[in-house]
Amino acid sequence: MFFVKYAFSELRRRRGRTILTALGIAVGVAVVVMVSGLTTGLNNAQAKVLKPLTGVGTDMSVTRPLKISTSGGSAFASLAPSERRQLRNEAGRSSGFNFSSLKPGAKIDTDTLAPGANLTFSSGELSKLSKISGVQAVAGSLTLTDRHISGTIPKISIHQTYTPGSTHHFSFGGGTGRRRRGGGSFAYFVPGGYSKASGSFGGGAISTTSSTITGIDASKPSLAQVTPSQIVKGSYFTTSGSAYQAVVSQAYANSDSLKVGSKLTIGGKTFTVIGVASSPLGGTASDVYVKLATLQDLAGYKGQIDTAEVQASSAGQVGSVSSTISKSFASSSVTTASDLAGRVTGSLGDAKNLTHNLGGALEIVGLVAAVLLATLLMLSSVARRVREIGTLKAVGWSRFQVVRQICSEALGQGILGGVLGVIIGLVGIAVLNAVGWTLKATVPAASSSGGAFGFGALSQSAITAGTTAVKITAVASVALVAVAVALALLASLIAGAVASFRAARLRPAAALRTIE
Amino acid sequence: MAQETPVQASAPAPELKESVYELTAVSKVYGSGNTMVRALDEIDMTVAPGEFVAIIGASGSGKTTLLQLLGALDRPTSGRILLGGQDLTKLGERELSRLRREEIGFVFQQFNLIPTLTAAGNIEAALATGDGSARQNGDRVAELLDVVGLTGRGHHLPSQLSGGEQQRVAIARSLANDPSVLLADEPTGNLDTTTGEELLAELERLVAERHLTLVLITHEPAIAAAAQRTIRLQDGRIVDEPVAAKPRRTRRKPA
Repeated sequence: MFFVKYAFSELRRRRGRTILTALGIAVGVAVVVMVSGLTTGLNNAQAKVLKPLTGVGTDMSVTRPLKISTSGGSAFASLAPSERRQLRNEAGRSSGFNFSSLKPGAKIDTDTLAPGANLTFSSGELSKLSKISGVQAVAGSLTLTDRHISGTIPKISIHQTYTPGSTHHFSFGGGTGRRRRGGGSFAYFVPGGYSKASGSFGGGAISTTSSTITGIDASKPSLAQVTPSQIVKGSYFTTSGSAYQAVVSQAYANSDSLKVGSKLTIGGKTFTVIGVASSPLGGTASDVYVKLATLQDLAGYKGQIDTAEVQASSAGQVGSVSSTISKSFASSSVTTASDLAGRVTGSLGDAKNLTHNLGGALEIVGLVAAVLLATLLMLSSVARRVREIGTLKAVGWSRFQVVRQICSEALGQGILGGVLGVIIGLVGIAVLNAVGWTLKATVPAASSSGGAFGFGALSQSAITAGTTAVKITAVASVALVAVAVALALLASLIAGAVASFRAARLRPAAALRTIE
Repeated sequence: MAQETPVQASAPAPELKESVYELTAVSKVYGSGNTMVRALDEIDMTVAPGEFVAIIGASGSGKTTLLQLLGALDRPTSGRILLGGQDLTKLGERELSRLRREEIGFVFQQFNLIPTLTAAGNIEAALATGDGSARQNGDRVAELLDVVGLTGRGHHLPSQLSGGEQQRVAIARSLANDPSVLLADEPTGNLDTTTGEELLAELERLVAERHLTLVLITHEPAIAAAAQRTIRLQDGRIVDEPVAAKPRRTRRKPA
C-alpha cells in the first residue's frame, strides 16, 4: 500500500527526527511502566507485611469493642450503661478473686478467664454474617485473658484513716508490662464507730500471671487468628485431634520454656503443646491458641465469640461487605486490611503514601509531557514539509488523505516510541531491583487498657510491635505495559492529527509559496 | 476573496467544448490595506483544446498566480473560471482535488519532488489517490518512466538525479492520470540552456502525442516563440496576445 510505503520511507530517511519524536513518546511510556511497576512492588510489599495481620483468607475482622473514654477518669465509668451491664455480667462470671473468705496462711492456686477489650456475642451471628451478599466464608474466635493466682494469703495489718460508715478500696501490688505479678485489690466496709485502724502486711506471698488465650475454629484454618503457615515447630490443630491441644506463640514458648510436647494448665485442664507459631509483626499474637469449643466450655462462654473473621468473595466486594456489616450488626467494628495498613508506618508507609498520592499524577504528567513533546516535534516536522504537502494537494491529494498520511507516520513513531519506552521502563525496573531497595515497616505497640482493673478485664491481645525490613521488588505487569503502549499510540495519533490538520487546510498555492 | 461553496452534485465530465479554459473578469488580490497587492486585474482569456499557450511577462506580473488559478490551486478574488465547462469558483474542495487529480497535470519550476520517495514513488504519489490497484499503478509507473527515458532510474532518490532527470520525473508525474491539460511553470527555469532545450522538446513531443492542452509560463523568448499563442502579462493585466503562425491543433483524447 502506497501510504504505508511512503510513511516508512519518510521515517527511515528522516531518521534523526523520527528517533527524537519516538524518544519523546518513550519517556512518557517509560514513566508509566516504572511507576506502575514500583506501585505494584510496594503493594506486594505491603501485602506481605499485612498478610499475617488478617490471616491467609481473612479480609476483615468484626468485633464489638468497648467504647472507652480517653478523657481521663474511671475507664469503667466512661463505658455506656449497656456495656457496663454486659461487662459486669461477663466479668462477674470470672471476677476478681474474693480474698475475704480466706484466712491468713491459706494457700491459693486458681485460674480466672476473663474477656478482653471486646464484648462477646453469640456465634449465631456468624450465620447472619455468612448470608450477607459478597461473603464467601466466616469463622469465629474468642480471646480471653487467663489470670493465674497462686501463693499464700499473708497477714495483713492496715494503718489507715478512714471515714466511718463508708466503703473503701484497698489496692496492693501491681506492676507493669504484659504479665503482671503480685497485684490485687479488694473492697471493704468500715462499720460505724471506727475512725482509724492500723496493721501490718507479711507472712505470705501471692503471685499472679496473666496470658492471653484465643480459641480458634480449627475447621477453618485459613480464617483463624493463627494459621498453619505460622507454625515454626510441631504441627497445627487437627479437627479430629484432642480437644486439649494447644499452639503457643514463639515469644511465650521462649519466656516459659515451652516446647512441642510440653504441658500447660489452663482453667484446671492440662493441654499439650503441639506446635509453636511465629508472631506476625503487627498481628494479634495471643500467648496460647486452643480450639474454640474447648475454651468456650472452660470459661463458661458456651456459644460466645468476640471476633468474626470474614472472607469476601472478591477483593472488589470488601468495601461493600464491610459497609453492610457495620450497618446491620449493632455496635460492631469492622477492621479491613486497609484499616490495618494504617498501623504500618516507617519508610514503607511513606513510600506507599507517596505512590498513592503522586504515582497516578506522575504517570499522567509523564504521558501529557510525551504527548506535548511529540506534538511539538510533529508540528515542527510538518512545518518543514508544507511545500511537500502543497505538491501532494496539487497532484490531487485531498485534505483527508494528507492527514491520514501524516497520522500514519506519527503512528509509526508512536510504535517505535512505545517499544523504546517499554524497554527503557523494564531496564529501569531491573536496575531498581538490582539495587535491592529495602524499606522499613514499623508497627507501633498498641496501648493496653487493662491496668486499672487488674483482675477484671480489658487487656487486649498483644499486638506484635516492631520493625521489619521489606525488600521492594518492582513488577511490570503485561496489562500495564499494554496500556502504556496503547497510550503511546494514542498520543502519537493526537500529535499527528494536530500537526497535519493546519497544514492540510492550506490551499495548495499558499503551501507552495512557503519558504523552507 | 472567494469563499468555499458547497460541493455540487457530481456529474459526468462534459464533452470538451471549443474552449478548455474560459476566464471572465478574473482578479486576484492578496492582503488588504497598505499591504494589498492586486496580482491579477480583470483578466479575460480563453484557451482552446490542444492549444500550446505561452504566458510571458516580467517578474511580479502575475504569471504564476494566473497558472495557479488555472490549476485550481487557488481561488480568484472575483470573476469566473470555466474548465471544460465547470465553474471552478463554485466547486468544493473535494471536487477540486478530483479535478487536480484527473484533469490537470502541473509541472513546477523547482520540480517539487518528494525528497524521501524514489523517482517511481514520486510518480506513484499521483496515482495512489485514484482507483487503480497497486499492480496497475506499478505498471503505469514503469510505462511513464519509459516515456520520459528514465527506465532503470526509478529506484533513485531525487537527490541522486540530475536537474533534468528530476524534471523528467515531474513531467511523468504530471502525466500519470492522463490529464487533458498540462500546466508548466517555467519548467526549464532551473536547468541549463542545453538541458532546458532538450526538456522542452521532450515536453512538446509528449503534449503532441497526447493531444494535450499546454499552458506554459516562460521568460525566455525562444520558448515563447515555440508556442501557438503568447499571452503577455504586465502588472496583472493582459497587454497583448500575438498569434503564432502554427495552426491550431484539434485535441483528440487518446484511446
